[in-house]
Amino acid sequence: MNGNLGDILVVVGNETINKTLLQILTSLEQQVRVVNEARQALALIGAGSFELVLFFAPLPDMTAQEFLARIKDTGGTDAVATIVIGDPDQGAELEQCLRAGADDFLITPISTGLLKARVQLVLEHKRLRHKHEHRIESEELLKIEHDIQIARRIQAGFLPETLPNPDGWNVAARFQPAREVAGDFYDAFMLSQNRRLGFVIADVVDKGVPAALFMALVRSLTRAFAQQNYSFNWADILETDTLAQPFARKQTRTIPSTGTMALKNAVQLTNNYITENHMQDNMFATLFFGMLDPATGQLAYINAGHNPPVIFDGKGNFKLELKPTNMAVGMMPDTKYSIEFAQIDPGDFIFCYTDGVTEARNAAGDFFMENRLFEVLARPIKTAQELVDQVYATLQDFVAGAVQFDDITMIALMRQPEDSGKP
Amino acid sequence: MSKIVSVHSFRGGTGKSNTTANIAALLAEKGMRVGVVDTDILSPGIHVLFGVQEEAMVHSLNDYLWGTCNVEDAAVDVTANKGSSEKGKVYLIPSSMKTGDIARILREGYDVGLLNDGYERLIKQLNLDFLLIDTHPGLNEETLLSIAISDVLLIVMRPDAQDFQGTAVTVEVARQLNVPLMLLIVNKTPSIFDSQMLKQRVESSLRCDVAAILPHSDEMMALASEGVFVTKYPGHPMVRLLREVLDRFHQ
Repeated sequence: MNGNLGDILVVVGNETINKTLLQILTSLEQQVRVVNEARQALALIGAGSFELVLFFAPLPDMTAQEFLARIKDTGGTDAVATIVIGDPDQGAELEQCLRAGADDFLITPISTGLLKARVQLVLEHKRLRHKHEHRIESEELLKIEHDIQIARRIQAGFLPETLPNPDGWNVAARFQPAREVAGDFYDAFMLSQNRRLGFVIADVVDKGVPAALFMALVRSLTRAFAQQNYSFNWADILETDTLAQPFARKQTRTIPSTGTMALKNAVQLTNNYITENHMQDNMFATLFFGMLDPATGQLAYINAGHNPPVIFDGKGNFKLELKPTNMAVGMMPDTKYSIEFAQIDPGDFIFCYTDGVTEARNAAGDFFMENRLFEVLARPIKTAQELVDQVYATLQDFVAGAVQFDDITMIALMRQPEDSGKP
Repeated sequence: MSKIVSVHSFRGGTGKSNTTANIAALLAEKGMRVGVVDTDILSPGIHVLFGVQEEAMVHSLNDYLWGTCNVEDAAVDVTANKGSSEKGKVYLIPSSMKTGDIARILREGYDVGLLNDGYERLIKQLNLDFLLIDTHPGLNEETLLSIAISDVLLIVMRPDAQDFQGTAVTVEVARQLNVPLMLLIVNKTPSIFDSQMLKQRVESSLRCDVAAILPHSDEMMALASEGVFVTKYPGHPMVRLLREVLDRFHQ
């Protein structure tokens, strides 16, 4: 088990090195280097791969304690082993050296057998210690790896197991974290007794574990708040001095219709919770929440700083971009989120994505960009699944194996054309 | 264009449901198609006036809110002379009287947006000229919504100090919600009160038009909610006063 052994450095000081000593050391199958001064020794230790330093006390250019301390500094936990050699009347000094970190000592005159035994013992000890430290380190790494794998599984549980597919619609999504865990998420679920389809796409600033923790929080809050019916919006009207918008009944959009309370609660209350409890973490999420009436194709939405989802018609024509209505969730306490509306006609689809799609880079450092994405979206496509698959495949072709920098997430909802039957 | 009329009172027992039923019957008599929604989900009652038995309710507003039926499926034809070929009709959308259903509303709440969509759908599906909303007393979410979407808000009150204060709150809220037309009906007025003086007093203190001062009526009390008053006593002086209220709707 000789392995990759280092060399032995001997600092002789004013002593003359005795030939026998050299012979003994060489016989240990080690390279031996001899210097006179401590400074020379330190320079060599810093640059080379010495395993053991033998030195005679006292040293000509610094105290033995200082020498030992500086050896330690250069090597950290992998510091070379040290044996100090002194005269029989130097007991006190040798003792000090042991306290300062020397591994062992020898008294002159040096007996051959003793030297050999000591050197071997010290080296053996050092190697064992080295191995042990590395094992602990790799055990810890394994433990972290294991935890991350569990985190990945748990995070997968934060994504919907199945996507709702109300009559006349099909829904598909794709989620590809840049690392083991991601700060993106998507969600889709039915609300108001199956009368509305709520869907969400979000991107937490940052990546990896911190973003994943925050993603879990945002996803849980939005879903929980969307599913509770009580609202505070009416009370707001009564508490403020401002008048409500002048009301014309046919403009039903100015007042709550089915699902809009849930939409507002989900985004506004999540923002309130985060800004009240996690402001110091400086975390926020861009989030798009759509509330779709599958029967009519009417979409109510809040876009909290997320890159705009797009609506295309069945013939590949771009129709509409759903621009941000407000700032990201978690940025400003008490943000009042406003609801916008859009229409998804038969044959249309809506495609939502995170910037990991458009900002994916190939090996040359070029971005995928919106124009490449829109080219794919304009191709004739029959189902949401096909759409998401095509975008992903085109993206993979483009990056061609380059390292993924950001999480890639997308969700698409497609409304079947009127003349087609059920899927 | 069809009109939504909400009938509200800040406190209970003012005669809100009786007023709603009477106005519905009078509008139908004029050939109007009228829908009446009982949004007093926690304490329903107007179905009694129209003689709808609990067993006869196949569906209720509750079923619509829980997604088990369309809102028009809960409508019951309660037109006074049902058999006639008259154009006028009254449809009632009752709330459930089952204890379990009321408890479920309390426990789960519901999406009030459904009410708004339901009103619009009723008007369309039943081809209504008027939709009357009988509300829960006081202020809660469905009441606020109903007030907010009304073309006309009728506030029923008694000449009573408690009602005065409460009505002031409703009037204030309705102003903030920008209701196009708001009218007061002072109900159960003792015969010793001078109607004209009372009207002036109410209008000046609440700064809101009074559409009618209705006298306390022994006949109404004796009817004890077992019928719609204007149908039972078409010649009663109160009927003329109520008709005058309808005339104000076109203001």
